[in-house]
Amino acid sequence: MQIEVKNLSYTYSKKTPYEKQALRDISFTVNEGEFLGIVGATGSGKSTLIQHFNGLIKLQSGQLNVLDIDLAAKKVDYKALRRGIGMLFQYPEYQLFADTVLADVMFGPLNFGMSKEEAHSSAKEALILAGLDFDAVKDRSPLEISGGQKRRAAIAGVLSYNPKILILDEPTAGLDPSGKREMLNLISSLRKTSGKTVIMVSHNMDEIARYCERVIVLGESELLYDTTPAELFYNYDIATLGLDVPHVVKIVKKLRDKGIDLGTDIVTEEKLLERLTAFFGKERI
Amino acid sequence: MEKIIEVKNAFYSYKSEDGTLDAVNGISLDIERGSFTVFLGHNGSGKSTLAKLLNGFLVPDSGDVFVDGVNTKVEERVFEIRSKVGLVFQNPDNQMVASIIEDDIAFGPENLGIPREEIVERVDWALNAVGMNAYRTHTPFKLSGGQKQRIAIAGILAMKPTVLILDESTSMLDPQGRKEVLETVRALNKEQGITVILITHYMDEALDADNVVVLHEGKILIQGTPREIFAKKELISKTKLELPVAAYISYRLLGEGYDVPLSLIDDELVESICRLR
Amino acid sequence: MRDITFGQYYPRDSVVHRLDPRTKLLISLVYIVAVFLCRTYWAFLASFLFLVISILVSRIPVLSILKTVRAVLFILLITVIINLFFYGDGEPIFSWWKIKVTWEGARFASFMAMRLVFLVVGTSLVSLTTTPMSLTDGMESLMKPLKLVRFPVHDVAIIMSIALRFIPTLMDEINKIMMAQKARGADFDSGNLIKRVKALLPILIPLFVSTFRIADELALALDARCYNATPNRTKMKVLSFNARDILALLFSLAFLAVIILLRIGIIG
Repeated sequence: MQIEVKNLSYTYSKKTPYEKQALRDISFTVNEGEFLGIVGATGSGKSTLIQHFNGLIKLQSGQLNVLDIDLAAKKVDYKALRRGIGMLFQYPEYQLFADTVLADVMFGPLNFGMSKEEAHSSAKEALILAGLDFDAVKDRSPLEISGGQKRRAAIAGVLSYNPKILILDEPTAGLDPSGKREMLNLISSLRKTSGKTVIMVSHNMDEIARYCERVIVLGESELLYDTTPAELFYNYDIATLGLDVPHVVKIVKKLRDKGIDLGTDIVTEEKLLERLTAFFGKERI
Repeated sequence: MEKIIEVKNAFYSYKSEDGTLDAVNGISLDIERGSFTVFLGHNGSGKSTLAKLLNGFLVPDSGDVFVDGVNTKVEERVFEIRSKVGLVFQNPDNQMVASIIEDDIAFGPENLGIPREEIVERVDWALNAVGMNAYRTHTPFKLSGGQKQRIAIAGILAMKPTVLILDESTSMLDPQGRKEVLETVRALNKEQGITVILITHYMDEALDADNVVVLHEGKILIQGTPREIFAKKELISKTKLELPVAAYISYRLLGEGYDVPLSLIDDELVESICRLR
Repeated sequence: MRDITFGQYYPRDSVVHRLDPRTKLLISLVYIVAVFLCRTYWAFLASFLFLVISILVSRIPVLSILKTVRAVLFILLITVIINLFFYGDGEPIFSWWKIKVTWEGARFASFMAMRLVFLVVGTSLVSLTTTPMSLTDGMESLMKPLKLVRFPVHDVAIIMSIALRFIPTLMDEINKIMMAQKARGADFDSGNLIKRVKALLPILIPLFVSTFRIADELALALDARCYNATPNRTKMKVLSFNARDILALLFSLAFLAVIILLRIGIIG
């Protein structure tokens, strides 16, 4: 168990006219190597929740244990905690600042106590993993490279210190369809090669369906569901929460209404095609 | 049908110390009054530059753009053109000027010197047209992305434009926000007769359009109705756009030998599959 | 940062909230002048009463008012200490080395302290009861006469209102950048002065870049809404005085008269 959340609650601006409860009594766990999705309408508390995991938001109420560090303790070693977590915020390209791309990617490792040589080789590896041409970008200013390259540089920046857990807040936000595909392939291959635990916050149900083994749904600051994508889409009505269901699921449900039952585990296009061709067998013209 | 915008062989390049970037390379097209046109293209295809050429923000290096008969190169009439062709941008936050919504919507008409009583009427009408009347005295800060974009649209509507261009106005929104904005814009087109140009990289937003223009490397690759465009699979993949799920599935099934015509939406696909029985 | 109420609008339904912003701005001017004219404890008492009445009518919780003083507590302390221990002639009540406490010094220190507190609370009361937009509208209206000397009144007003509109957005941006860098191990709280200043670069540079980006986008939006299309700009919201405002102004002028009389020595 890498993350254990018990009865976690959080209220913003307590005792002011702007008080707002963002999270209420949340409990769940995350195991090593899992690919977890967190979904919820805007304002449901997703960002507040993930910012607890690396101590950016101090635990106000409840219990939280991350990578064997108890965040309710009197003194928490936040640096050690953050070293184990790579957090990518939305539009991460807006956090780049150093003179060169290499220097920016080395920022994390150096902060966490790696030596200059170690940081250098780690950064190099990370940049290559993120799909950038190392020699072409290493000495360039991060403000001058293209938008796509900036985002990859930002990813390299959180990979370079080898965190055990990757937390991605809407990694495909603002990208066009091919950009989205590239980003998700990158994340997927990273996971396959490194076995890292990945937590992805997303609005895009197709992404969640395709990559996550497990999904948590937040609604009005509460944890509503903790299940697999297929379970979620086929057994619960999430439209009322302002969430969309993948088209594939809509199609399967409509076919079921018309008498064609393809099962309740199809969440990707490939599976749908597989199941359809199996269903209709050799009935081709 | 009357042409409200005419583009005649327009070219535009961005010049900087690093060199020249050819953004629009010889585009000619007409927009009919009251139509709903969608410009599709991946990032870098020239769509935003084209949008700015259509309302006079940019003037073509060669070629011409006419708005309601007036050439955008005529400097004296530039504000007339801008108030006729409204432009809503991508970022919901950075289009708002005031801390109170009704003040923000009044900004456009105030700039045009519209008399006070008429401004009040227009603000009322604009807020109702986008369904945000309940928020008129709120600050924009606490709104959702979709709500903010609707306010941005209202701010443009208050200038009573003939054409409304949305430059990737849904790219930064969540699915709920996207839905809100698209519904608002469709209603404005159908009920108020406003000519709409929707610029996007989401193919599913083109399903209802009267005309779809696919841009690639600063040129028009193809133009036509949604059905005509979606049928050109090889061209679509060249532009790196993604077909809606129903279309993709129907193509694959066709490839496997099933008699399934091109489906644009889920319901069509379901019908086609049922007919296979 | 989030909890500083100094200057932040506190929504309430009170007479003070409903006053025309120009009235409040003018009254605060009157009050500032009065506070500087106070030379006796009676005068300060009158100022104190005026303030208390205003606070009560505004229905803002006392706690929020006191919070505004917290922001200047440090300066307050320094002022009091310096004046108390190092100023004044006459019979020392207590002295030790260079430190000399005199009645005069004590009196002066108390006057400085009261002036500071009354000024801070008085001006905060304006921003606590008036939305930033109203304030800029009020200031724009009061500045209108400057148009005669070609002063760009409207441009200045727009700049002020845009700046106000973007304060929460920019604060949000700073927060986001800070969190992203903290997540990568940045440390803003430890080290000597030089270290701490260097540690701010990962925040300042992205912030600068973001601000320029926002400004660029906003400029386009302003153009799209025909800013500067005509010099004859109209306004939807027109400020208007009513009986309440006139009464409030008269009340404050009466108060000022009392202070002036106290100062000249005709009374008290």
